[in-house]
Amino acid sequence: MPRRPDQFSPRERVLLASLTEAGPGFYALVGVLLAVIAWGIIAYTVQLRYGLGVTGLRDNFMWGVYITNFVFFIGVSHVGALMSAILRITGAEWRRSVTRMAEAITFASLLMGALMPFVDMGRPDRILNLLLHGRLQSPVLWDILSISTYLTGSTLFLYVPMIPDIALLRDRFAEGPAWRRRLYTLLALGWKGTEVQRHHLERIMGIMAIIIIPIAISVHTVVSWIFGMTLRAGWNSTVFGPYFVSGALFSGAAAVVTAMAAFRWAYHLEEYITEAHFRRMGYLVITLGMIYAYFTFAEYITPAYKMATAERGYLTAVFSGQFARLFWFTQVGGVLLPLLLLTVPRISWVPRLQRVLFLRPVPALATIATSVAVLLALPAVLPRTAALGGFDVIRQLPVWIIGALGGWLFLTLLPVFRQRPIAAAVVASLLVNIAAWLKRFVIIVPTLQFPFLPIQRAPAGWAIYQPTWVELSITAAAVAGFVLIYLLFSKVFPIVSIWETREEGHRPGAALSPAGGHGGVADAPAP
Amino acid sequence: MGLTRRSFLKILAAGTAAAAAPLAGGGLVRRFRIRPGSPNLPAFVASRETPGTVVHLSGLPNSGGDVAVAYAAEPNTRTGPGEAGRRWVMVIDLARCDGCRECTRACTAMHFVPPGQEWIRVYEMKDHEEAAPYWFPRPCMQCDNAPCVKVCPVSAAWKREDGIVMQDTSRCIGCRFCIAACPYGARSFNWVEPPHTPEELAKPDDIEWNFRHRKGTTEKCIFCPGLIKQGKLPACADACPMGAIYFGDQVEDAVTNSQGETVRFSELIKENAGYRSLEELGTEPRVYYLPPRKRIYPAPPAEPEPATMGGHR
Amino acid sequence: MRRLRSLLFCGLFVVALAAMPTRVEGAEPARVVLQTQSAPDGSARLTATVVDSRGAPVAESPVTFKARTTFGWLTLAETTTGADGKARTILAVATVVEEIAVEVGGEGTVRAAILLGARRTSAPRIRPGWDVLRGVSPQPGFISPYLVPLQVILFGMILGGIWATYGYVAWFLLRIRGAR
Repeated sequence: MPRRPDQFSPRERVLLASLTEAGPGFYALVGVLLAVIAWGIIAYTVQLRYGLGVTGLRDNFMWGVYITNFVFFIGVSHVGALMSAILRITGAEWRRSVTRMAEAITFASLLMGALMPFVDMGRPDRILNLLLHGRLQSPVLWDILSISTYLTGSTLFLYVPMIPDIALLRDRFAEGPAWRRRLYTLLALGWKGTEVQRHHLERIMGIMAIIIIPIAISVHTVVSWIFGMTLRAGWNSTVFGPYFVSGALFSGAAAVVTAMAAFRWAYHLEEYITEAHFRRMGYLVITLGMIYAYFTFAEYITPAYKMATAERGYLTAVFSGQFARLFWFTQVGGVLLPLLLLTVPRISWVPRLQRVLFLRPVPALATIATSVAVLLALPAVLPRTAALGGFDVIRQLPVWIIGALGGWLFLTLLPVFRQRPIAAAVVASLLVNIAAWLKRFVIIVPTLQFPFLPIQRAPAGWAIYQPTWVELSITAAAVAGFVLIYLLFSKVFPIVSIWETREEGHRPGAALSPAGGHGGVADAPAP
Repeated sequence: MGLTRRSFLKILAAGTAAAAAPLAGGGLVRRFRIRPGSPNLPAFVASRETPGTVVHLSGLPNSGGDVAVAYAAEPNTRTGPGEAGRRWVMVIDLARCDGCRECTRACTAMHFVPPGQEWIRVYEMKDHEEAAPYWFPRPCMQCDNAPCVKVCPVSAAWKREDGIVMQDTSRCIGCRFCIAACPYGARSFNWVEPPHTPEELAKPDDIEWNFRHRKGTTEKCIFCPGLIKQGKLPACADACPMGAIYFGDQVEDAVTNSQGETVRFSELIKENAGYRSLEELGTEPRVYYLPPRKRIYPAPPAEPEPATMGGHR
Repeated sequence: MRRLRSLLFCGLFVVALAAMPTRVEGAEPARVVLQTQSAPDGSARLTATVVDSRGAPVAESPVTFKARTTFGWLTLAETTTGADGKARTILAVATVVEEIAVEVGGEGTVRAAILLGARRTSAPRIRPGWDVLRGVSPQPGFISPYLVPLQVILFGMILGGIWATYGYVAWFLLRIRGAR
């Protein structure tokens, strides 16, 4: 039975306070997000008015940032459902305080992801043609069907375990604002926590946790087939389905880490989300990252070994050509470094690094900062002589120096990160997410740069892809929209499940855990 | 020979008028496929001898034009199946192509192709280090296993039974999946509202002519079915001053170029080692190429053109 | 039976359009008669008989057989007449022609054309339904603009299963609501 409001534990009161207490920071953030979204809407209006010509897309680069966003958001949306479902099924107790965050990420990110193809459409006014003349043979239709199915499923998956909490809120806000009262009363479905109701809820969660897994996997597989079903070198890959799924899980898990840290900090949820949660999530991210690295390796080594004519172009561009910096950043900065950062707290020799003189923070940071400043100033100062510019090594040198400085910085900061594992996890997950977006871009664009027939007789500026302000504005608006949806969600519903995190014996749905619920929450501190 | 195409067509017109009169649908000539077990050749061709008579064409009805064939009218539905029993095919003789781009110009003029697009684009190709460069005109390949048709979500691209991959710009939603799928880069997108000229607007909005270009939709070469219906070669084939582009019906096994040369399609391909572009992709193109062997026209400059041309044409 | 009938129908069909030669000479071709005859194997034999103005066969006269195609005249064969004044060629099985013409004489002064083609070729029309599994392309099911039964069944099973499960869940939600 739900306890009366005065029966809430201290940490539950903190959590509930996050629903109602909104400081200036909250309003400022919402204001900024709304402004970014408004700017994005303006950009989209410009695009509607003048056509897709206002973007950097052209005949050879028919897809770009929008489709990158699409793949990215759909990817991030994966983790909520998949991680939460798998953790539920396996009865991992530590999941209780993070599953809702993950599921809400799914919801918010899926909305933004599903929006992107429509932003990308040349004729959004003909959207009904998809229903009137839709061809089941087209992967676009598969996407529409699978994403709508997934959206419905993940909404159910998010909503159902929220019902007992909504009932709690309904009771708590019995004298609160009318909209809250009505909303909670409607959504609580008359939940009283009776035996029959709990039985039904268990049943539903059992079904949903099972069925959401194949749906989630199929969604990103189908997304990858947007590329995989074409003949283009670089997309014509049989491994794209699992590759995209692994990349999605990796980036999604990292997004959950970011969200955990953000809510922990903003809503003071230290009691719910402990360092142990970050450690567990870190293990998950490491595992997923290694799977992703394996798929990346498999995806690139097979064509790179053969260097077939068709694939030579994009592979060279990605490994050592115009996309090399992006690509190697996604691999070093987006996979290797995050995995190192997440393992740092478990590496015993890290503190010893501080004994090395040039790894002590103050001298190291000073040197690095100076070097970067010099490097940035150098091109302006140095004369542009042919002798100097002719050497490839010299042209490439700044990149190597920056790389080396980055490594130095990383080593210097390692002991700091060891002392602050949460900061390390956040930095790692942010890196993963930035790199994940860039990697989607590196999957899409280099392939388009090297079609089977060479790009010839393209009008000026059509032979290279340069995203315009319209695309970047809409992308920023999509990110802002994602954050805003997530933020507002956390203001309407508790971002941590209350009834699932209650201690043994008081938990209404103790029997929900397939593992039997014994042993309590291993990593959670006693309240 | 001394028999020009025109005069023969006139004879034909006469023959058609005379012989086909007993047929239903006066002047409507249908074709007859000779196959094993066919009972007979048509019995309507009555013995009709006019010994010692000069037939004056002007005295005969139904000699209004060059065309003695009236095609059975196809309802011009958006998903029209195309000409019955036809398989249009194009052969481009690379040994004859001198890269003058008359084909591109004729195509652009005929279809009012928007700027930035070339529905038949002449590439400068050099297959490998030792190879001689050559010109490579690339229309839409009208693939039988068309990747663009497969991926179109709304049937705006569809395969007709006469081999043409048609494109409906009034249905296209602009997802550009077809552009991504096409390995030949034969599809173009109207990124902005295309400039409309009065001449273009004066033409009827006919899908078989690909008139009325629309913002946010994909377009491409469609083998000029409007011209074919009139018994004319597609604009590019007709414009080629070298006669490098042959066009015809694979069922008839005959292709014709702008110089009035009509040759057997199968023999042309066999004798000249004809090939199709990117055969290994299995797209089954309907455009064949004759290799640039013993080229009698100037090759492209050894240094290929930069990718960016700085303007259309 | 069919062969018998086919033999029965092996008629001789002639159309001749003859042009009066400008000057009459002994062995100048003045008239040509083009005949077609279908063989039991399905091929067609074309025979051109060249005679002079007095009706006598002309030997050693160059003869060109031509077929009219959509965009031009295709030369089928170039031969010369024999002693009987006849030149022959064979139209192979599965040839599609509309008209055959024969041209005699150096300047093409003597011509005859014969019109074939009474029947419309039955074109492979692809209609909705199972029809799309046969067709003109290597992958008719993926090329087709119509629904393909196999795909519909597959999609129906997968999506139907999932959405039925959602329905089941929704039903349970209603039962939660109903439970007191």
